[in-house]
Amino acid sequence: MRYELKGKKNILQYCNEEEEEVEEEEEEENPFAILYENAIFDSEEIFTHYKMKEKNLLEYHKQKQNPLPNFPELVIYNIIMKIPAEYLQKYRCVCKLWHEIISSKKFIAQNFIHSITELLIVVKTYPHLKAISLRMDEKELDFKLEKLDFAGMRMGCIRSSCNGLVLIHDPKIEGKLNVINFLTRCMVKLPRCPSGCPHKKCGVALGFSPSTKEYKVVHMYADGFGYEIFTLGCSDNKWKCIPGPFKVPFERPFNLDKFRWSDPVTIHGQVLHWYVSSKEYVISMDVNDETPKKTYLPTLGEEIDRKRYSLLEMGGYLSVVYNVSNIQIDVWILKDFAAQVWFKKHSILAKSVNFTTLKIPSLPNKCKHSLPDFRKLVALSSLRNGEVIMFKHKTNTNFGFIYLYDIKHMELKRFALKIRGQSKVVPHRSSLICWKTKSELLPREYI
Amino acid sequence: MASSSTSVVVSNKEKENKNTKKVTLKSSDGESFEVDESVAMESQTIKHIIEDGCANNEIPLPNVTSGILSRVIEYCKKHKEAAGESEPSVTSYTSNSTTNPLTEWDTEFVKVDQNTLFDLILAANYLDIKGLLDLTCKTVADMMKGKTPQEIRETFHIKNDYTPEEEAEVRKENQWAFE
Repeated sequence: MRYELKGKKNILQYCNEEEEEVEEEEEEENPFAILYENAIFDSEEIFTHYKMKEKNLLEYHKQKQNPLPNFPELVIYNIIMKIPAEYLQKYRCVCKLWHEIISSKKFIAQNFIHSITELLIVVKTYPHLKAISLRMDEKELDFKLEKLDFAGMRMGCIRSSCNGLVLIHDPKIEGKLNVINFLTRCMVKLPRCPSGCPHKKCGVALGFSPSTKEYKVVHMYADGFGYEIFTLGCSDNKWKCIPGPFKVPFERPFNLDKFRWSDPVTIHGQVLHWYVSSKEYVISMDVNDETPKKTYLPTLGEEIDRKRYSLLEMGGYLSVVYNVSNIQIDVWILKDFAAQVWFKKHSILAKSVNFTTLKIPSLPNKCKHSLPDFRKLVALSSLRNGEVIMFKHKTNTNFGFIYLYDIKHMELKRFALKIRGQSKVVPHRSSLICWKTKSELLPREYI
Repeated sequence: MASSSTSVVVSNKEKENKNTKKVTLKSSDGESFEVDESVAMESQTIKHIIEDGCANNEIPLPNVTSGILSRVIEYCKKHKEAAGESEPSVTSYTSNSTTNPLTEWDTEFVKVDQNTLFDLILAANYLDIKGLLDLTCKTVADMMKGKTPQEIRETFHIKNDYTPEEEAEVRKENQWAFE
């Protein structure tokens, strides 16, 4: 008995959407983008070093390719779906069919599944902020850097990212927030918060509720005000206020004079976790039900020093990275949010670690090849789906070296790259989500 | 002695009932491959043939050569083994955290020449093996990085149906959309 070749349907039936006209720009790369003295990098040479690696890789790919055989349409669709969004944005002009596919909402959602996490690092340079994108190398413990293009416009500080959409300060109007997609150049401006928060010392994030398909900005300035929540595309264009997590003042675990809310960790854009300077718990909120609750931290058998742990997203879970001592760092993950079950994923032990430092040819080896004091390593973010952790070395000066740690191979690598103390690091996955008017933001079908 | 041989016969029968059942797959160039039924059922196409009761002797696969079929069987075996051990992967539109413990093995598996890769895609499509199709398509997608639109047209044999004016419009500088 013979079976038919799959994929005889018209390729558009796989996306099944109306065509939308979207404009697109072909950009010129400036390979010598200059970063100012106080920037993240020690020198322009390092930036160029990381950029050259990418160029060589692209050259390699270009040489090898033969034309494809006549694949069935399902296969073609499957291949296009896995091309990274930033290339697809340029490939809209390949032909009308590709334009239609790339604009299809279902395709955008399917393409997003394959989007890889990069880190957006905001660099406070003068006169304007700059943002750098950091991407892990697929195989090695290494990364590449790229300057984020904002079409020559000023950029505001990036606060949060969800499904390719980025929550960002308006560069010109203080205290105003915007949501943009860098790739498709779409933007929506948010009305000012009722609390009048200038957004200098507050905790805000963009989240997505998968059941209602709504994008919500959740903002916490002072818990006396409560949470301010804004749903993108809402008809009344107003923020909603809901009570904060603490019912009575003495419940607060922090010192009211010194504490400032900071941006929460987002897990799949759905659950937000705020650090509240407590040894026992963090405050969590599911964007779906908008109800703040306490998530108790893992019991470590000793008292957690509230200054020695970082909250990260790791492979789809909340993670507590705890500096146990100068030779040990424990990594815990919240395996079950509802049941509050923690699991110790890994211990970074100085004695088991394979330590390397990356050499840049013209840089002198000023530092010894010795392991850093683990108490001084601050976890900034995870990469490669939770397999790699990026640390910053906390020093007396404002700058500290970046370290990457590979969990599976227990490899710790120090990079000849420093990051400023206050630099904001935002995990980001690019997508092709686009809209022409606010009304397209709600209701939504996929993401 | 008699009693032990009886017990051997019984246990063989039990084994057959317990899924070490084999099927034979025949490639287009006449070579036969005997595999566990459970491994062969990684292919939805073969699964339907077996379930329809049409797999008495051999299953002919006239669209797959022996070289490709042996590789496909290798893939299915490896993934069937691993499937028992790993967590079910979490995929939704928003998640890219699928836990695939065979990532390194898969990466090595697709390090083949382009013709073999393309044949694997066609086989995975014909045999309806989702994991293999996704893996091979991803490999091809990765080869597209850094291509210009014209190079994409050449690779996919696409005729440009935009007029130069239309194409310029699509390509022209994006204005940031203000609300």
